[in-house]
Amino acid sequence: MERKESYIFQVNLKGMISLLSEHLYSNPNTFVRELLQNAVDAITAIQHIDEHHRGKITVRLDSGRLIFEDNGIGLTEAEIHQFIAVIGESSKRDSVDAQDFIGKFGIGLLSCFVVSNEIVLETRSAMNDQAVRWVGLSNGTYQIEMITEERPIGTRVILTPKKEWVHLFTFSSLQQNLSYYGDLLPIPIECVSEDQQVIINDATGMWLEKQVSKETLLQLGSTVFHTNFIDAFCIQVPVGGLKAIVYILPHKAQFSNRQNHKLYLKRMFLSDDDCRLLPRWAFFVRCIINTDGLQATASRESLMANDALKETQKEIAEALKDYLRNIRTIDENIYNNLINTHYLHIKAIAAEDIELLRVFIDDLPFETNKGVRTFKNIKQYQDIIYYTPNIDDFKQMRRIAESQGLLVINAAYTFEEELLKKAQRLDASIQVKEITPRDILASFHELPPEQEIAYFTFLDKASEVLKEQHCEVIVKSYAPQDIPALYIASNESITHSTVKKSVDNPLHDILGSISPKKKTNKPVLCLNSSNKLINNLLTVKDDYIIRSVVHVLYVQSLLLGKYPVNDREMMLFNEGINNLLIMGIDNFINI
Amino acid sequence: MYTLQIQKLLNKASYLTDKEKDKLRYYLQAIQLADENNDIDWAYELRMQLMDIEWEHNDRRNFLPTFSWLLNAYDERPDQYNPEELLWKYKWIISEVQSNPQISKDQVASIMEDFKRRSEKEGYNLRAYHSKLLHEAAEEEDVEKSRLLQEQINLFQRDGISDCQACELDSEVLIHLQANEFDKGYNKAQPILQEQYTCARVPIVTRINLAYYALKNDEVDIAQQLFERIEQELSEREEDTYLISSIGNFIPVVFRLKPMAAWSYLQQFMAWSLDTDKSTLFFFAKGVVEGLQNYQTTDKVPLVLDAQHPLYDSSGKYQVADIYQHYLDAARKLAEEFDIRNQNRNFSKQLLS
Repeated sequence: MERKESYIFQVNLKGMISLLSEHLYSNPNTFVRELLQNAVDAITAIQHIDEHHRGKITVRLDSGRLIFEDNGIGLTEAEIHQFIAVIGESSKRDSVDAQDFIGKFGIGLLSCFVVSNEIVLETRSAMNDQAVRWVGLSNGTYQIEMITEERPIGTRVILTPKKEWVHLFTFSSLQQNLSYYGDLLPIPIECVSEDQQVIINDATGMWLEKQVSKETLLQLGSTVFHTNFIDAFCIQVPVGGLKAIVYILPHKAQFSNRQNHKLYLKRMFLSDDDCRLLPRWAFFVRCIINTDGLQATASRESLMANDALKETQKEIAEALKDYLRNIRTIDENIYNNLINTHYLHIKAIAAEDIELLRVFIDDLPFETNKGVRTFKNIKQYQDIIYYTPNIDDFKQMRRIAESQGLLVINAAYTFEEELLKKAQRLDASIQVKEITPRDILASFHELPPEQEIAYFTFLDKASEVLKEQHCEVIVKSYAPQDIPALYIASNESITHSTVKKSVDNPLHDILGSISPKKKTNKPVLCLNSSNKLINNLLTVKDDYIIRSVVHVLYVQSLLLGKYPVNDREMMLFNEGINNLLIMGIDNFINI
Repeated sequence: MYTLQIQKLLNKASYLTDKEKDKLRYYLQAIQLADENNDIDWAYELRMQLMDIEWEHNDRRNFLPTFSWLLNAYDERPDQYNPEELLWKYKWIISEVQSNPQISKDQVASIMEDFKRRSEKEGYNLRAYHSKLLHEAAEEEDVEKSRLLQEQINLFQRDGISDCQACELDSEVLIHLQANEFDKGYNKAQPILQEQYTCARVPIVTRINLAYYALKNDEVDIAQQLFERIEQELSEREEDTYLISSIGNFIPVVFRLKPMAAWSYLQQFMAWSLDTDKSTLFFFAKGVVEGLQNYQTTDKVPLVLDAQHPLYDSSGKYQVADIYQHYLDAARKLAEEFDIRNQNRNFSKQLLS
């Protein structure tokens, strides 16, 4: 039998490098981060041998080239062959101290090929005296040579920019990028050009090492986010090795907009996003976060979703809630400021956390027909707390409720109804009740029988006039007196109108059987007997005039109640006024 | 004028995700405006969109009346609207009525007949029709009926109203699993597990079912591998309450393979299960009962439950026995309702096994 041959897949190295370097990273500046990461890891490695070693990173611009230098552990020739020249191999991954290093995937150096066709790496290992020069090209080849002159321990990476990326190799761009990625690193980074020299990371990371005052935190927040925050505090989560400064925004934040943050992994910048560390309701904060215990994805642009991340998320949410629970005792001004600015977010949190609801409920503001009032104030105003979850109903009821002395909450906003119901569960003495325009209608005074009889004929005629609109006409007495009539819509659902029932629709029977039919009420036009105009109507006997006046009153009350007015109704309204004008009845032209 | 108002409402709604209840409110207001102005075309289009949004929610209270209106409007002017879109929505409605034991067997049958008639009238074959019947048989764990229906499905080519390939394959896998043919099911599921076919439900649902039956077949390693992927997917879909319809079988798996994390999952899913349909609630309750059956019933566990939950207690501590009993009662009651409707014992049998 013929022997089967085994073959090894061939890899197009040039294509592979292009793939990894150009597509893995979303930003061409990533090479700065990767070089910083390698430098920090090299210094960390030598500090494992000599704990007093003082690391330093120097980034120099020299005739357009970038020289990135560290005094870390360096590499031997054998290590270069093993780790630098093999894509995906990393000296850090299997090390016993792996958790101390930032990188581990063995692909970071490839990001330099995005901006340069050649990577020159000169290095001397702490393990011997021989310095080595490695030159890697983006076509997938590399050369290696010994350096004869004496070199200090450490590594130097030299990059010559591709034409299109020359602008990244200027002092200001480099300074900005080094600061962006490395401002929290504990190892000093110096950026040098022929005529300039700056230290990138002076005191930014101080808060990670010792306790600092709130003023210092706020000052840092102002520098980093260009915002003067209401408050700042530190939180610590042991499980993710996480420490963070949480800043409270001084302005209202949209629910739909995620805030930008600064997330660092082992003090190296990782992302502007919170990478799902913050709870979904935390739109009102911005954070500077450093984690030593969580893991990054290969692109190093987000965190791996694992148990540690989940646990950390929970702890952060708890820490934020703790702050909210305690801030009133700590600083009443901040508490008030927080409520005034972020009550929407606090409502969102309180809706899911009964304990926080208990803390905040009395001070939370609600929109009512008597302006914005706190819950405490609303409780004190009346025994039953009325609300409507429908904005149109609220608009309609606002004025009438006011004249009846009722306070009604507009609970059409997200969370309001839920919060009110939960508040009732918290305190059994609170009565919360939904109210509709129809309830208010029911509360209006009935007319004394003798007065009601006087209206009978008129009401019959008026109901006949509005038959086409399926509207019933009634009369009651209510305030304010200047409103002649009120329109109360039918409580029919959206699904019972406008199209003819199809004989082939098998759902008709089901809709009747699955839930008890709610009693639907016809729309009502409620005339106000306390209004002068309505009183005068009793004296009118002419059907033609009655017809015109009723149409005008009907459409006027639709407009008053913010209901839509269709073409037919507008026509009736115009015709009504026109008829009255033609008839020259002065009493009615001022309706 | 009113069209401008409708557009303003839709503009507000466009800033919200389909998951947000306020989006539904805006659409309902827009539909009211269209209705009040007798604008049937707007009202039709908005109702179609309302169903798309409500599909993402557990609480689909407007589903049936909305679709009934759509059918009426469609029958009045059939040339005006797209029949394929309507038939797709019809498939959702069928799931909805199958999941509601208040709707009688005859009523479900008449809806199925109407769907069949309309499908054929519009030039579609009966693959989708049989898929809906298969779904029902699978919920009843009626393997013999499922196999017959699968044969029927295979007689027809895929067309515009067929379920997606991922869902169809998932259904085939489930037949094997329910027939106690784990290996066949696992092999059949490979294209799904390799993610050659995916959709909103698949592969997570397939992985959940496979993990559940893997444990029943003592294939703990396979269950463990599947479980790790399920966890990853769940962590990426933390707010996707729609998943509750498939989560029942996950609960016994997580209580067996990762008991420390199980309570936190249970807390999350108990909240999701609050507004769901009865069939989903049955499978969820059954899952909880299976998950908790080996637990010390006198233990107390801390859970943050919504105040709406029937078990809610302000202390935040719950005795395992109470949770177990609550869901056992719920599962029994629902099984009874479905069995009366279906005139068999197929739901109750699942509880006994």
